[in-house]
Amino acid sequence: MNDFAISTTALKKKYGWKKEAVKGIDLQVPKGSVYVFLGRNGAGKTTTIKMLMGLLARDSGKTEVLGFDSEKDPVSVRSRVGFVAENQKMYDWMTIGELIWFNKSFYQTWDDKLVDSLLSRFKLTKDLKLKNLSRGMYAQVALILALCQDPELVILDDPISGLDPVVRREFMESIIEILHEKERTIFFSTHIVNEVEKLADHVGIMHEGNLLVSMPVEELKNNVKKIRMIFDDKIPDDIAVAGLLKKESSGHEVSVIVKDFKKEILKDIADRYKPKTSEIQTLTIEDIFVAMVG
Amino acid sequence: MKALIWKELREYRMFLVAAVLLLILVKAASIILLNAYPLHKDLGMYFAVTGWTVLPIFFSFIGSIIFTSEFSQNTKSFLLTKPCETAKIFFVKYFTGFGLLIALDILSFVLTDPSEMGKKGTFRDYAILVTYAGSLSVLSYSYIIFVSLITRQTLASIFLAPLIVVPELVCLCPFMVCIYYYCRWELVMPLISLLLISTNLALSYLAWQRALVKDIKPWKVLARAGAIILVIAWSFHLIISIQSQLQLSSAKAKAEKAGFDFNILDKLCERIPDEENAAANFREAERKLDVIKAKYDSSDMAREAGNSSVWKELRNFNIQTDTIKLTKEQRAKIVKFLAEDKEIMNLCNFIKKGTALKKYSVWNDAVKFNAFYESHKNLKNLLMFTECRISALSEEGRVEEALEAMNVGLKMIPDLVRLRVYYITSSYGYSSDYSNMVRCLLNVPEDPKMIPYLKDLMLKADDFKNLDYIENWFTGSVPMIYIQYYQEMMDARLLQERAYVGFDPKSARLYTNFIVSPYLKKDATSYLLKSTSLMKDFKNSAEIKPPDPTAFGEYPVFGLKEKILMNNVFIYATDVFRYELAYRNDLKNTDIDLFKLSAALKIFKIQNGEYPDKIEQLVPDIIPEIPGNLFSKKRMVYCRVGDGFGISSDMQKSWYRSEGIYLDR
Repeated sequence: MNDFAISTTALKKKYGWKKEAVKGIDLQVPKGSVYVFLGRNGAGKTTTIKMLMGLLARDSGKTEVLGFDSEKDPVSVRSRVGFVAENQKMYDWMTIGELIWFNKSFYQTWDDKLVDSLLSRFKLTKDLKLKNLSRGMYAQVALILALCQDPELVILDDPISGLDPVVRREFMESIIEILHEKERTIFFSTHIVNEVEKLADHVGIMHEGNLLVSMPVEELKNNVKKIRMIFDDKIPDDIAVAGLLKKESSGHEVSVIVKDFKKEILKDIADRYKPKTSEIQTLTIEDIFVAMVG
Repeated sequence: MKALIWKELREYRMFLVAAVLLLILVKAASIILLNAYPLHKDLGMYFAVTGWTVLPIFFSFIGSIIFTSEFSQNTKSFLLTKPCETAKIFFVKYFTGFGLLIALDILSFVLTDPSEMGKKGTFRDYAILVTYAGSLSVLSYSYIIFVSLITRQTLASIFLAPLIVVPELVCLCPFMVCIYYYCRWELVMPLISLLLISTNLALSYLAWQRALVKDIKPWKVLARAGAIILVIAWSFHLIISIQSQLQLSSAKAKAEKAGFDFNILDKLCERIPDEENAAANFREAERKLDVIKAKYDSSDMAREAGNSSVWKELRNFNIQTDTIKLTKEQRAKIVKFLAEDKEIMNLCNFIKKGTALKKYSVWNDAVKFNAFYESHKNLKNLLMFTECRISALSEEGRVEEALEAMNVGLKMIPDLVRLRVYYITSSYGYSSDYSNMVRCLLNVPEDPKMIPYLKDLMLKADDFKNLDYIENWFTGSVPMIYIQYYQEMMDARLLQERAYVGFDPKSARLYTNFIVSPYLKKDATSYLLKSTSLMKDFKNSAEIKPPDPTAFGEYPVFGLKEKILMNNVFIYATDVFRYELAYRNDLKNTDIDLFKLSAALKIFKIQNGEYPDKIEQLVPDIIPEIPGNLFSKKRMVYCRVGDGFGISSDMQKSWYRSEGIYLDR
């Protein structure tokens, strides 16, 4: 058994002849981590998750989830993974109670107490029909189903997209509370970065089928820094910094975002461009994300 | 699994309730309307058919939702992420719908009383209807499910389902034909349905599995699966074709070794000196016959007779068999007509030149079987005319002309027998035509001047023994049966399949030759091997016993597959033939004895004014002794019938022919 809840090696998937959705990614999600999988729409996040869940055949590479090959043994994977898909649709003609009963029958482990507790937390009752629920409530039901099977890993594929900010915040708070109660691996795919910032301890950023980064949040924040420089005179045209991701200038001020940041870079800048002042700023994940894929 | 089944039942419960209510409604409507219109005998049947077919088909349409709803409501990813094999999900969905459909089918059959069909059907009829109706609904269901997994849309699947039927039938045609030929007819439809349902199930599963998980486009799945089925099915057909050809070749080789002559037809036709001319002559004869028929129709006799059945028989030249039914006046007119008719005179002269078979357009044409039949019929008609003419000339006392006419008739008989061999399976070997004809010579006037002539005829009768056109036909006849049945089946199949194929005859022929022929060859092989076996038995057996007439029972025409029929007929035909051949000389001698006795009876009447009360009165003045029956050795049976007499051998009681002679004066 390895220490990764999710592990992919050179994972590739192509749609049709030309469109390469996933271009050979190596993804490792440590057990017990909250891994936020970021990427713009169409970056290949959902395709990767479908392959992890065994819903889509990979073209090449390997996908292991909790030690099981997700293509060869998808049932073992699904029995251990709680999954909420993007815009999850369930059987609207069922009541919440029926849906819970239906879902429960597929799992060996099922926590009825947790069901009741989550229902009361979300102010939901079993006799409500799904078709009568708001989008937020609908997402909450999907979350209940994903969590109450007592999964080792929860994969959330952009469950908050389409929710209004209030509901979104409420949903995220629920997740944080539940996570505190029991330690699980969470794999959270989204493009709405600010909501997941306080949740994440690992981050992966997908862009056009490639996994640009995959590391702990702190490491990423140390790795990607913003250097703010103020000049007395004219800003030099030829500011070039190793690992430059983004450059912004305004008046006498220039900001550069660099990856693989080292303190020597600051000294090098001071020597070459002689700014009046320069300072290092730590970025939010959202800033890093925008800098990397924007 | 319980939850999956529950989910399907729960989801479509309203449809189920609606379907059952509809069934009950149909039943209630049938009861009410049948009470209101009890005499409308078809009303019950309409409701029964409605209940049996419309509802299950309706439900099969509903069945399409079982899969498409997962796509249209976008719930498939929710379902597929459950820890359950996708195969299990598929089969639970498929067979839940299937089970409901069967349950609904059964319910509809239970609610529909078979007596409402408008007639009392046997259980067998009922069972067949149930099978067909059930198969139809299940088939519809399987097609719609398959197409629904390709299109993933309910409405499209309903409309496109019929379009998938034809290509699938083309792909599976070899298997279906195989089932058709090898299975009992009751099982054909269920087994073909099973084949189609299994194929649809496999294709549906592929479409579900490959398209959902492997992310292959549904139409690609369809194309690949179709190509695989096509290759497998037609490879199977190729193997069957090669195998049947090898079997047939092997059977032919065995048959040739046993003494069959497969070129007998060509050899027979080689006897025709001038085929073109013979065919032209034959057509000319046919034309002349039509002229004569027209003349009959316009005669005073026709006007007098009107549309009576007697006249119709006469019109069809069955004069001899119905002579005793005629009044004296009618008979006198016919006699005069036949004796004086120049057309018939000319026709007889024409026949002297010889008629012949039409070799061309015989085997190469689908109508060859009819050509043989028609030729035989026409020739038989000519012979009938000749017999009538002999009879008429004899009655006029023109005995020389009567004898000349008989010689003309005798020339026709070989061709008649030959033609008969081609189309009548049960008439191989012995022919009674010549005995029928010569007895017409006995219709002379009751004039003492005729006594020497009659005595001369009695002496000449022994010459008839030399009339032997039969013996050498044996080795040709049995392969003829084989060839004939093979051809006949091809033609029958061709005609039958014209309706199936629904196109022009060329398409039907292509279908017959390309798809059906391996199975016909297999049947032909079977016949040929049987005939080879019979031929060997015939050659090896010293004594041949007459077949048991009861062993054959009724002619097995209805309710059995053709091949069973053909096999039975084959044995029937060959056994009768063997019997006739074995006793051929005895039969001929019996005929001659009967003829001699008839002549003697005629002499007795001329001398005494009436026929004798007992046959022994002929001895010793007219004949030295009464000939005994060849088989029972008892005396022949004699009785007076009205103004005439009847005389018969014990062969008259035989099951296959009558040797009796009836004369009316």
